[in-house]
Amino acid sequence: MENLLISLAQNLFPIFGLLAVGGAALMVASRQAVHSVLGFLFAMLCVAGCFLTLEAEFLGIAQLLVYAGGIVVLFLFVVMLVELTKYKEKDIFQKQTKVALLAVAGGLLVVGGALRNALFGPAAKEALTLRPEITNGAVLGNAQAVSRGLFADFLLPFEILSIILLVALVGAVVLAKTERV
Amino acid sequence: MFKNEEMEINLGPQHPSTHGVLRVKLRLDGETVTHCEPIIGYLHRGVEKICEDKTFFQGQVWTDRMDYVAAISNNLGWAESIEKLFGIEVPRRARYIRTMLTELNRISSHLLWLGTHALDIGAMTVFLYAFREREQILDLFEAFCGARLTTTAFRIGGLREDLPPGFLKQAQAFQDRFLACVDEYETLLTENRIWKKRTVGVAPISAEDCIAYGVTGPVLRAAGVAFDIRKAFPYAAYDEMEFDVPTATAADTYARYQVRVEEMRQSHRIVQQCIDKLPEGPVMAKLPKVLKSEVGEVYHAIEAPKGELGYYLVGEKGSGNPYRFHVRAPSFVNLQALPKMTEGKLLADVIAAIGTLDVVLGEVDR
Amino acid sequence: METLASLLHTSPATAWMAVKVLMAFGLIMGIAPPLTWAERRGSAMIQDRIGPNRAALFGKIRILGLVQALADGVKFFFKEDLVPPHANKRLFWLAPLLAFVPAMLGFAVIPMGRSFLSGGTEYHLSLLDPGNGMGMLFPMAVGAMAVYGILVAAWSSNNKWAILGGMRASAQMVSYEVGLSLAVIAIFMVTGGYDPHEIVKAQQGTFLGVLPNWYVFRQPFGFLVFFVCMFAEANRLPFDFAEGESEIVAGFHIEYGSMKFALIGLAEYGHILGASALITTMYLGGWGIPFVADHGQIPVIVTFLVFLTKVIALCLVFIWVRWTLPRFRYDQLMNLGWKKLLPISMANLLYFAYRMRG
Repeated sequence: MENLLISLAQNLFPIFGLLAVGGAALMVASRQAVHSVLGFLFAMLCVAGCFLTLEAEFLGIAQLLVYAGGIVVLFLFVVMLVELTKYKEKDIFQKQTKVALLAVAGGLLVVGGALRNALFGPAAKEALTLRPEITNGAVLGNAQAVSRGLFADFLLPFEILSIILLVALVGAVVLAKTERV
Repeated sequence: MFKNEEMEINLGPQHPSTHGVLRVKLRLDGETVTHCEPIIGYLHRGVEKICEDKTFFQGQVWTDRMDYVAAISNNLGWAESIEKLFGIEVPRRARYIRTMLTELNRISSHLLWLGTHALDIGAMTVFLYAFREREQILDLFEAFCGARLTTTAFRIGGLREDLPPGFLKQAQAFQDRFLACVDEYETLLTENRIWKKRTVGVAPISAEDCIAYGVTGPVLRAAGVAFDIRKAFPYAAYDEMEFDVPTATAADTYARYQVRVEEMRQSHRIVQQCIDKLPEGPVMAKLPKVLKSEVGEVYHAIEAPKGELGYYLVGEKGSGNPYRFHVRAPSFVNLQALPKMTEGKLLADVIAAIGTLDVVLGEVDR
Repeated sequence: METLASLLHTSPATAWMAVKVLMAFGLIMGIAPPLTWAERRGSAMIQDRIGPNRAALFGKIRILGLVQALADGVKFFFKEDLVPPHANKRLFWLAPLLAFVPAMLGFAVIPMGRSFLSGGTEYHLSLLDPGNGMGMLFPMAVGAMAVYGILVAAWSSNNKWAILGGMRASAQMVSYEVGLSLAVIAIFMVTGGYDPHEIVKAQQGTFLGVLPNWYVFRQPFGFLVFFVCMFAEANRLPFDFAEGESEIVAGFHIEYGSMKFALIGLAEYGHILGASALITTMYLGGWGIPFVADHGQIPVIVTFLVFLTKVIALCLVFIWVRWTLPRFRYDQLMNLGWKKLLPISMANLLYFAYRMRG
């Protein structure tokens, strides 16, 4: 019993990873939009689990709070209300197999190329080594690590990113408004 | 794709807050009401037609079953309109007792309204407090006529019997308690910020609209029109009573709440006067065994708890039943104003509006 | 602990974990039925009536109506488990679980008593040991999950009232979460960490000489915001919009019956308990005894009882409020959340940030 627990505990990362992929597959494959969103939610939860097994607890919880707790709720909310019952909308969303396949193939090429470079490229050795000493031992927990990253090391990109998000937000509001008038 | 789709929904006929079998067809945009249509008739029994086949004495039993929350008011209207038709003079003691019971009935009706209205808005405890006092009033009715709800309290020409022994003492016991109880309800609601948020400015209807729709009773008075039939066209013993007609100007749900609570106090005052000044004497006028009418018509209105309750009776020569009987039911007329009060508002406001109109479906559908 | 562990052929750590899981789960499931009882008898007391007292074991043992909870449980088990024909069956099954699990999980990080040493190892009375990096963020995150139960129940029931309830639930959630988070951040900031053990430790001793050193006294406005938001999170009156008995009939669980309904009900009580435990830990000193600065000599069981007392007292407040106040309208909660609670908690945060400068 205990051995089983231990072996489970040691392999939590691959387990969560596989489950996340399963959730993503459910999201892509299900015909019901709400099922898709729930698959997405499941994938998000499993990704949070992956973070936890990597001892990145803060990131894991942030994943839960922001994605699972906030964004997917809104997805679900929208999907619940906008049911895809009408033919026209079904045509748009469920008959794009060819386009989707093309896009996936393109995406695979890019990701595959990147992976090949990372795993077998000249810099593979450098990229695949964990180097905790990079933090100079200045940080204690991962909340501190994240905040140091956000507010010290990468402050400018972080701020730029927030402005971009703000612009997107305003844009979304404007688009939604014009729809109504 | 993201256009607004309206949802059509049936509020009732089975719904916790429609006070019976009212069905309101709502079209909602989100939770905003874009169209509101009350659909009535689920409790239609044809009271008016039935009464045309009953003798004048029998008809009163049917009036119990219209506004079953205020059966004694209905009884009073019926008895008085027939007395008006036949020109019967009711003894003074009977008029006093009638007034007292009717006012007690107004209190019990308002208590039921207060309890259910608060319950609709989510304040659950007021309901049981209100029912505690209503129970005492119903006990009084039971002591007087043996029935608690469908009372058939009066007889044409007066009362069947005088007050039972001990009744006045029992009534006085209620009187002594009641004002403190009203204060208790008020501590729970009047200054409660959530209650105010849910009622102030909700479901407004102006005095002009009230008059255009024929809305009467506390709803009209809360719009600033001090129209009360007890004052305007006194009946029973109201001309000998001292009382005020509470009004408000805000014309919203909160104003109606204040008006009705104040009316309870005024009714309490009237009941006290009846107890104190109750004259001695007979309680029944001399009547023939069978009432045979002449050709004639009569419209008699009283101030029921919900508003102007009017009875229109047409007599037929030599007949023991009315030729034509029509009821101007306050709930029915007031309910017309519901779409006016709710369109463009939220679903929760519809519930508040139904509560504040204080409709009884037995009376709407008859 | 070692003997127990050796009896079970496990390591002490595993045995302790098992004990803790049983304790946390047992605590919730053990308190929920008496809580329904307290709700009924309490409401009866508030409303000047008697309340349920007829159910009896063997026709005799009534225990002030406590047996009624048992009778209800039996009733829920034996009721027909009906799935409406137009419902989405799988999700209809899933929803009560989605509602129930987060309600149970929230308890995981709450320390229910003093940590103690036994056989050289330190044992903590919380499921997750301190320093796990999740801290008080965990119950927040899990609490945010609770809305899925409601949304999925609402959608899968295929009922217009249920959809209205689901819409209200999500609208409600977005309106209070931000204010809630800011109130909590002020605590984290003052404590210098978000671990519940640290937060509890930071609240020991006295404040201004006369008050316990609790955050409720040190950050009264933050407490106000947090307290109100907890009512919204637990879906209780005055914020029970998703259910809204008198408006949208029963909202999201209108189609539910039998054990599925019981699970949703248990989830509600789980949320009340979770919210009470959160308030206790964050603002009322957790397991700490007021005015006592050093808990080293106090028996563990006493600290546990102190914690329990605080939680149950708060649960009774939840019940008391439910039977006293009317319901808000759901757009009014949004107003309250964005225009009142958010500025208050923002000001609270800024004030404490200013005090901590340099």
